[in-house]
Amino acid sequence: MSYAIEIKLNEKQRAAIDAMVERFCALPREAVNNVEKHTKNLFVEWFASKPPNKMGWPSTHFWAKQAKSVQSSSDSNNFGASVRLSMGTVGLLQRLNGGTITAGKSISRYSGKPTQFLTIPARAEAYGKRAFEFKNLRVQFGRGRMPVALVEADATLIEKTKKRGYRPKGEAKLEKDFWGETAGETGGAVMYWLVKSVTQRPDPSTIPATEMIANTVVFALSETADRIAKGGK
Amino acid sequence: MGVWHGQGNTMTTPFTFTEAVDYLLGKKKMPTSMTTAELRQLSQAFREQSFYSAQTMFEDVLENYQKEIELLINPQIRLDPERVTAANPQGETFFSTDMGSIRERTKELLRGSRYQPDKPGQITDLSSDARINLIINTNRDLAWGHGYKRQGNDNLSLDNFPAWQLYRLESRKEPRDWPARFQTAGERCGQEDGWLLTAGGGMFALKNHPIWQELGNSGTFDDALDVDYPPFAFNSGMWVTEVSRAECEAIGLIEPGQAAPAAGETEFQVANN
Repeated sequence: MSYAIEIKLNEKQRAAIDAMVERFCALPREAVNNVEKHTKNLFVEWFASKPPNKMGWPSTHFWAKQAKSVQSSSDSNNFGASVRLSMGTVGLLQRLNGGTITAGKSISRYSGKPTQFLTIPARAEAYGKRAFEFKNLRVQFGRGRMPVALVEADATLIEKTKKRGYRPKGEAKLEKDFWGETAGETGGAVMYWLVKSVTQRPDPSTIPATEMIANTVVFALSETADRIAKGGK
Repeated sequence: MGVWHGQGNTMTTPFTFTEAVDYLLGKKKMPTSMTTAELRQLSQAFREQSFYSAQTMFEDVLENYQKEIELLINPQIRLDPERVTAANPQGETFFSTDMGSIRERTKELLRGSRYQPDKPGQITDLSSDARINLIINTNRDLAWGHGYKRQGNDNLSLDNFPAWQLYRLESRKEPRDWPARFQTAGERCGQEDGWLLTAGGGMFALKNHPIWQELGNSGTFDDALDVDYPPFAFNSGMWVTEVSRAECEAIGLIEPGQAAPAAGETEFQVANN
């Protein structure tokens, strides 16, 4: 996504600036660059300050990626100036705008047909991974034979345990203590919940509020004007 | 001043992070049997121009990595009627790839090449999640870091925001002691002025100060990536933010009116020091 800030001066405003600083021609370029950098920092720091996932699961560093992805450009001419920020990886727009995500947009690796369900991680081991990365999942059916979850397939757990005694007949060598095997069962843990669709509410706090951006722009313009007025360059 | 005409939360089409994408795609694929230690013997300039992974001879795997990382740092917008909301009247949504799909495709390519790891599951195993994640995350971050540095290094940007602050962006279970590394880099870089480690662990330096090169120097830190921009080292979790001239002057990194060093300038001294 990108965020565009248009800075346009009307005649009265340009006249006011003319009266304030000597080198008006330089103000737009330096000031616009200052606006660009301050607003870029605002977005980077906004993303960097987001808390980790509420479940306490190992982080996928989603917000860190948003912070790293922020880039900017600016332009100014006699008619005004503009600053553009671009940012974001998959998921940012969905968080900001909300909306419904429905299964069927991707092709299932199992059936080769459009997917019928979305997979929602149910435990930490599944978070940040796709269901097809696990080779031991089976479908758990619920009421009315509706698929409700992907669970670990039942498996036989082989454990090595130390046993006392002598090896059974047929062994070439008799040993007093040896390693044997015991068998148990595991599996069945829910890894993903299966849903047909997910609807998320828009979250305006995904990016800084408009007022915060406006304050940053005004601050940056004033900072440059003050610096030039003091003869800082 | 009333000069701002903002567009609120209106989204416009994203523009390409050209500096990051050009950096990534400008690298030539270099299949190699060399280890990390052997690769470091090559010149930094040569390595900067090459896309490689230690002991990875499979050119198709490297090519796939480059394509996938480009998609990660340059997601496309597509319109989905199901995503239309009041805030998003056109139903814009990002289209890109994801780590799970990248891992799966990489493993398929390696299976097709009959790759057999010596130590399955270890970081040396080209098909392990740990190895694939490391390659993707490192190269993605290098592209972003290079782009971030390029965008902040023109004359105007240097004048308005002369410095970087190094900070922890991603948490780690066992974080490395970055203030200590910063101190070491500062002492070894041969330039006393232009960098600052505060009592609270704040790490500041002018953008083109040699401390950044030293911080990313594999001759000084085994895990460093031989770059002078973030992430500086493998899996560091560290990044930088730009520091304004006003703040630089307040903490003594630069004197009022003094020009910040441009790229390639090696000598810097705080004026009137």
